[in-house]
Amino acid sequence: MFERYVICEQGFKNVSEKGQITGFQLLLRIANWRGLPLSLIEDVRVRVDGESFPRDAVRVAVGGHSFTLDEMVTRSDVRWQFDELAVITIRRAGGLTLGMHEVAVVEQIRTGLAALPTSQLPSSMASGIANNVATRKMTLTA
Amino acid sequence: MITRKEFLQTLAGAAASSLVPASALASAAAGSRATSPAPGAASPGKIRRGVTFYSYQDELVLHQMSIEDCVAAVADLGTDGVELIGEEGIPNFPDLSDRWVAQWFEWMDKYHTRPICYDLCYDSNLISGRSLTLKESKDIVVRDLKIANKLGFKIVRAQRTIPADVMEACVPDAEKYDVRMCPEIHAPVLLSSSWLDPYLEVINRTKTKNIGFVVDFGIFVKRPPRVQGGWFVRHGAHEQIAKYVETSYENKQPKDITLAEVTKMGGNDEDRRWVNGAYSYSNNDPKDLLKFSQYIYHTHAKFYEMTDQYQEYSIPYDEIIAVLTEAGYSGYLSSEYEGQRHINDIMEANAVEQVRRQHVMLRKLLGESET
Repeated sequence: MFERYVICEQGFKNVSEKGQITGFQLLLRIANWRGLPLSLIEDVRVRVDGESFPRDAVRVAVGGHSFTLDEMVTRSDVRWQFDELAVITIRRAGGLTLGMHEVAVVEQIRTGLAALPTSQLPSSMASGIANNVATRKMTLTA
Repeated sequence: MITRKEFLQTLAGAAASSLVPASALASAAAGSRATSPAPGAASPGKIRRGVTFYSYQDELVLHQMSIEDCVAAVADLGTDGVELIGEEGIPNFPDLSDRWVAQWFEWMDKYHTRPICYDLCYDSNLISGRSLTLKESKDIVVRDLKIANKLGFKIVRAQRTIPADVMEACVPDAEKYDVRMCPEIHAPVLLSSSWLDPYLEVINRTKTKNIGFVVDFGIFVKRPPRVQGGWFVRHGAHEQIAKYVETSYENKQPKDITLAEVTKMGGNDEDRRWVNGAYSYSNNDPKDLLKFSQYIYHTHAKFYEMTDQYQEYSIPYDEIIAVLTEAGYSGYLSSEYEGQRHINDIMEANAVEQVRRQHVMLRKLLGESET
């Protein structure tokens, strides 16, 4: 499906605030064949070397504006454009170590026919989503 | 080594001026932006060829091709019909800049192509937990009718989730912007079902000329794409069960029986997902198009895999084109390649090459070529 290009191989780095490393960033493309309003993006889950992160540790920036995942589902007026690299920032004190990491990403998108959140869909309709896991080994250098 | 992009830009400009039929060139030159001819008008009674940029989605998202490269690739097929998905191809959608509009028409002139169909995307589930109101729906549609009009399109594809009452409410706007709105007949719709009825009811009651249909050839899948079965096998499905699923669909065995059998055979989640994938297509008889063919304004020539022998693995193009010819259809066959998603985990799909192979098949079936 779209796994091939979801994770951008550049832009993987630690981020700092006031001299302290507070987390890390990566760049993602949308796992779809067109851009979408943010309200259709229900979740962006990131796992690094098997470690997952709480929902409120994730921020997604598109078009120069940053949103929490809970804010995103309320914003039908803001789009993640088709070829846009969204900046995903994950809060993790101390960031990640320099060197190679295995990164896995799931973008949970409410596509198709139903207005229901994906968690309430019958499994036959939600089944495509579970497959949409992108993974990439990437080297953190900064 | 020449890149694909350079190759396209070099070749397409040259090919555009030599291979396009003179009638199309004349009509492109004669048609002003506001009054470009209706589809088929350049060559009455003839089915024409085009491409939707859906085909080039992997190349576009990775910036291996630009929208100009897509236009050039269409011209290089010796044809002129371009189809644009706003949400895929317009920078900063839905804010259409005057500069991009001017650029668009410069590309149409440069490559002797013309806008055929604009794809409107309608997310009925835009707001979590409730359906859209009629006004919200109308606002989405009218926004895109305006975009289509500015870019010279006369046909607007609407996704199959768009309700008939929304279409009806938008007719005055469609008249104003001079476009025909066409809900897409898309798998798993059955032509024998009542799916078309609400739209036909509106057309018959109001006598509007601004509502019709786009037919997607994914409703004529005789056997599921083997490239898709291959994807599931690489992701954990059993090869033998995957084959069983393909045969079961082909033999029109009901989905619930196939699912039950797959479970009996020891199928896993990926096997069951492949059942869902395979049965997301429909296997209609192309002759059923004759029942409403006067309302077919555009088609998506969907395909998943062109073989080395220039055959589509799943879809009976010979039967479909024979029926459209019998019906007097004079619109476009717009190539819609969708095989990339089933193989791009192991290779670059190369949509340009797949579309080129499909057009060899289309030219032969349309009688455009003796060779």
